[in-house]
Amino acid sequence: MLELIGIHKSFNRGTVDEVQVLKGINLKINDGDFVTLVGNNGAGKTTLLNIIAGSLFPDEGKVLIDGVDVTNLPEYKRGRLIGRVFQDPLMGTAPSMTINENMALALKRGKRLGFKWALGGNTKAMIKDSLETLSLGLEERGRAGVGLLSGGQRQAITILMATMAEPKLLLLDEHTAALDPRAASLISELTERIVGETGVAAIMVTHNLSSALSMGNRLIMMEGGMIALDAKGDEKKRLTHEELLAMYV
Amino acid sequence: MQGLIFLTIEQGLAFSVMAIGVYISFRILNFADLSVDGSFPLGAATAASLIAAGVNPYMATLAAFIAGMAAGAVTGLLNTKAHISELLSGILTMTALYSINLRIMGKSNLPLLNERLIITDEPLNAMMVFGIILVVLIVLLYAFFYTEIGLAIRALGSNPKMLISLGINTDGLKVLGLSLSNGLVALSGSLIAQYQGFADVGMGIGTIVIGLASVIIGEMLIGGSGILRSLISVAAGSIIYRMAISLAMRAGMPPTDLKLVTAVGVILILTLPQFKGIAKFKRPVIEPAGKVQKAER
Repeated sequence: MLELIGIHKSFNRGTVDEVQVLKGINLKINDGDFVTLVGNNGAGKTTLLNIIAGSLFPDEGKVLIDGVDVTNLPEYKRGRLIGRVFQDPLMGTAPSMTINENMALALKRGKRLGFKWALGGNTKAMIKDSLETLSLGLEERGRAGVGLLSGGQRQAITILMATMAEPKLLLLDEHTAALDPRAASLISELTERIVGETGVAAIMVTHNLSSALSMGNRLIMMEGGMIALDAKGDEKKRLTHEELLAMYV
Repeated sequence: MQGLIFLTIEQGLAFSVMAIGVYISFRILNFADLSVDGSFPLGAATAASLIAAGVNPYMATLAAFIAGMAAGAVTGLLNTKAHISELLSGILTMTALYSINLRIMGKSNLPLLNERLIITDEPLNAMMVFGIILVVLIVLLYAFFYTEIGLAIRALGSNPKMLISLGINTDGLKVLGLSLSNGLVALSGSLIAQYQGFADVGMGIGTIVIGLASVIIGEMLIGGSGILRSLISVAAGSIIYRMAISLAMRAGMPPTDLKLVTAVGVILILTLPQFKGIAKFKRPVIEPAGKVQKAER
């Protein structure tokens, strides 16, 4: 479903500060893959995600989604295919608007916006059903401003928003790192459940080795702009915390 | 005295259309748009020239709105397509409009003597006409901001990154929002030109500050969340601002000091709450929401 071919990316090219962040990444992710992506700070994980999402463009190489070359497709157009959750729980929702209004916009992913009522028809019912799956009681608070919610609640809503319009790919960039332990485990459970139910292909960047090992069916470790380990299926199941830790340079 | 109150309310109603325009760019879109200083006289110039040429005054007023929308679109395109900063995009449009307004009018001041206007000299007529226009606009805008596109425009000012990650093109929304804002400002300019009986090339100076003063006064005295309530409080803020000005003038303030007093007033409203003891009101937020968020992190 997602294919990266020979991705190179450097910052500050041609200056003394030039840093080569990605040095020829080749990666193929299949439908239904749930990849956990680990590696040191500066290994290029976030840059890779940004290149997949279109926030950055590679110096060399190609990005294919379902066989279509999207390398030069602007970020908002790729947003129709890709759902994204950021580390900062404030980034995925509009604080001055209500829960219902935020979710109504998420339902329009990939569709043309018109002059129809945003919350008309069965939209409200769909949003309520969706919120119920969180079991956080938010289904009763659809008219509450999102700015009033906690980081965990906002991140939970962001995950719903990222997946409810059935994107082809879900990108999670350390999306539990800024949350307290309880909220983080809640969001991790929610992530597993939603990815499991929808079968969306997902890439999750994390620094938490236990979640990297326990979640998903494939583990990729990046190091110095290259893929150092790509463990799938049983190979990933056999991988231990100690082995993984030892691989960090 | 009673006559003065009516005059003030009439002016306040006509100016409140402008204040709502400023509210849309400044608060909803989070875009400090200075082009309104040019689009206000643009509306006045467009309507006055068309009316002087014998065009139906309602069509001329509508034309003013459309001219303002075009001006707003230029600012939006300069910002989104030419990647010029918000402030500079607005300043460029405003500066260019000065010449355009002179060309439209053919001279710096265009009187409207004995022309058919959308208002008459009968008592209370202007209040009624402006009142109807304002109510219709508030209802339309309220409805608009609950449509899909309206909702997306609100989200654009609140969290543009979210919209992009939802696959929504923010450039078009920004251009549309600025068009709407400047269209309203120009419409207000055309109402004022008809009310005072002339269009003048210099009548737009300080529009942004007056609009901002109305927005802040409305938010401080009425405030509250929700689009409808905000629109009403901005309109009320504009009328209250006019009343304060006319009281000050009655008390002997020379009209030439109007802009200075307004600017000082806005500065005071924004700075006084910093000092303890005087801090009765919550400090009005002037910085765009996005920047405030960054500071919180």
